[in-house]
Parts: sequence; C-alpha cells; structure tokens
Amino acid sequence: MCILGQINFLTIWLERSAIGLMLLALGSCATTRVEQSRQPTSVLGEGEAMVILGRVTPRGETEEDFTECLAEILSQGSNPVRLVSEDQFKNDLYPHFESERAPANVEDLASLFAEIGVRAQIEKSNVRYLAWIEGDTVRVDAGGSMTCAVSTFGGGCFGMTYWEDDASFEASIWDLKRQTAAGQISADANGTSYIAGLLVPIPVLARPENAACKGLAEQLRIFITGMEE
Amino acid sequence: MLRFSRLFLVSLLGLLLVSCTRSITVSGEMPSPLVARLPLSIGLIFEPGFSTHIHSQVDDGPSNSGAWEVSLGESQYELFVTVTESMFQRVARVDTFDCRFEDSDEGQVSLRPDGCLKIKLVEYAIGPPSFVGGDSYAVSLTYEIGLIDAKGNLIDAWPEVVGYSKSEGNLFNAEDTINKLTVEALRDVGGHLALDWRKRERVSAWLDASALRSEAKPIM
Repeated sequence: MCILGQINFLTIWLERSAIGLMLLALGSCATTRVEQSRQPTSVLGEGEAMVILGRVTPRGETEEDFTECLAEILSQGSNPVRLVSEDQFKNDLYPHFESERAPANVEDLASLFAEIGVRAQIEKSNVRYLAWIEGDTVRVDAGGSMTCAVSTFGGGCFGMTYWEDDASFEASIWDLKRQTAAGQISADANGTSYIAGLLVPIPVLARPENAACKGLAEQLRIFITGMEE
Repeated sequence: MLRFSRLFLVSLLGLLLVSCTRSITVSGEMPSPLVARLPLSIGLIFEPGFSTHIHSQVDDGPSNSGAWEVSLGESQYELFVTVTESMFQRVARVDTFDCRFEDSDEGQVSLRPDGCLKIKLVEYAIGPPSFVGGDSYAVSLTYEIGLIDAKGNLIDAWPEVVGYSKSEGNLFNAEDTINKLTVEALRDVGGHLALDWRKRERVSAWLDASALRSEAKPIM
C-alpha cells in the first residue's frame, strides 16, 4: 500500500513537472519584430553581390557571430544571395574599411570613391550593396533562485531561475553603385530563458539573437532580391 | 598524511593558476593598402630586435588574466614592409642609423634611397577586462616613425602612431581575442602610415620637393 502510494505520488509529481516544463518551453519562445523602409529600386542585378559588415561604435562592435549567422542564412536556400565575405572586402579595400576609418554615413562615399583604386576595386568585385549591421543583445531582466547541494547521500538542485534577453539589430543598406542609402531593416527579438531545478537542473533556453538573425536575414533577402526564399 | 596530500594538491593548483602564462604568436592578414605609389626609393631602419620582439606583461588586477607573452616581431615587421612596399616605388631594409652611406660602404653603395623611415615600437599594451570594463579586452600599439633624408637630416618625427582595438572576449578564448585585437591594431597603424603620414606638413613638403628633384633611384 505504502509502495503504491509512493508510485502514485511520483506519477503526479512527474506529470506536474512535465506540464511545468511545457509551460516553460512555451514561455521561453522568442518573439521577433521586423521593420523596414526601402527605396523602390533596390534589387540586386545579375552577378552583383552584397557585403555584410559589422559596425564598430563607441559602445562596442557588432558580434561577429551575428554577421556570420546572417551570411550563412543568406547564402543558402533556394534563392541564395551572392555575398563577398567581410574579411575579403576589408582586405581588398584596406585600409579604407578599418573600424575607425570606415565611412560613417552614405555622404562619405563620394570622398571614399575619390581615393585611388577604391572605385575600381568595388567594380571589380561587383559589390552592389553594403549592409552595415549594428546592434547587440542585452539582459533586461533576471530573477528567481536555485539551490544545489551535494552530500554523501546524493545531490540535487531545487528552485527556478530565469533571465530575459532583448536582441536588437539594425541593417543600414547602402547602394554602392548609386552611392545612396537603399533602406533600413530592424529586427527586435525578446525571449526569456529558464533553468528549473527538479533534482537535476533543466535548462529551457530562448535564443532571441538567433531569432533576430533569422528575421533580419529573411527581410534582407526579400529586400535585396525582391523574392522570398 | 591525508592532510599533507590535500595541502600539497591545493598548493599545486594554486601554483598552476598563478604561473599560468598565455603565449601568443601574432598572426593575421596584413594586406597591401590601396594607395597611390610615390615615385621614391625608401630605406627602412628598424630598431634592433624589431622583427623578433616578444612582449611580456603580467595582469595582477582584479580580472587576473595571468601573464602574457606575445610574439609580435614577425607580424609588425611584415606590416611595415607590406605597407611601405605599396606606398613607395622601391623599398629596402638598410643597416644604418641615419640614412647616410659612405662611398666606401661596400655592398651598400647601390642602396642609395631618397630617404629613410626609422621605425620604433614605443609601447604595446593589453587592456584586460578589469581595466577596459565588462568582458572586454583592448590592445594598443604605439610606434614612433621618423623620416630622414639621404643626408641624415631628420625631416619629420611622428612620435605617436597609435593603433587600437577593443572587443568582448572571455578567459577561455583570451588568446584568440588578443591575437585578433593585435592584428586589428597593427592594421590600424598601417592605415595611419598609408593614408595619414603623407598629409603631415613636413612630410608633404619633402615629398613634393623629392618628387620634383628626380625620378626614383634603384636601391636594390
């Protein structure tokens, strides 16, 4: 009887834990908002390429992982975009796109194109669009508590801890052929991650940066090619 | 005995943490700059040990990132050679302190540059997170670049050519972060030399006068 009672208790406990985890998993999804403004003529021509560059600001540098994520998504799929890598572009145009020296706004392009070899190199690589990526991921909230203990009889963790991250990125797209700003796309993603201590710590992680990357990449693809994947 | 063993293990662990030295040989791409080539022959004078320089630094601040040993020489030498080869018609390393060559200098007679660049590393510094803030590291490089004419006169002294770079990193990949930052700082210095050096007043005047004087003379 006692054993049956214990099994019953364990079943209820497991059911409740499973429901709790499902709720956590649902709650940990990242929500993404993407906005854009564009010039009507901004579409990549045949053989033309785009370059994605991370912007360096006094606050810091756009994470390389994020620009790599964008490049990976854009270069794949049924409608891939021809990309020139950031390293290749910076090396070919060295030192004009080194962090401190890179043009800050589209009006600086005229003086940059007047520099020896710049126009010829850009025409040679057939780079039509340049997308400056700026942004970061910040922790906006965190809380809860979890205690872990180890003894000679075993150990475990109890409690729950959570944190909320907000990923906010913006792409400024320049048309190098026309030397104009072609448009802007912004992506904001928000997600809460949890770690529940149910004897063993069970992480349920939201990845807002990844969600922002996917959202921004797909909008960039539509922006540049005029077509979805 | 058990107590002694524990004490020994703890001491050993402590010793390992304290004596942790991170060694890096700086490597990265130093591309040729896109600049107009000047019709001049230039000799490069490097301070002794420039191409084999190893920087040592100990961070005993709050972030305690340990001791650093950075082999910078080869990369900084490569940078200056690559950049100057794009800037001038002819470039060669010369073994002189003041760009003057006696007629009796055997083997050096053909090395008659229009002028020399005297390059000296003033400072290399790693900024650990305790200094920079957050999880960020920073690297700064300072060089002194002098221009000497073929008669040994100092035309221009640029005392602080600074390259800087900053990025987030963590203790587990700190070597990669410092390498990347050092390469970026070196490229920053290269950018100053390629684009800003010729705009300096005395350099600009000397370049104009030299260009008028003659075509580039072979130095190799």
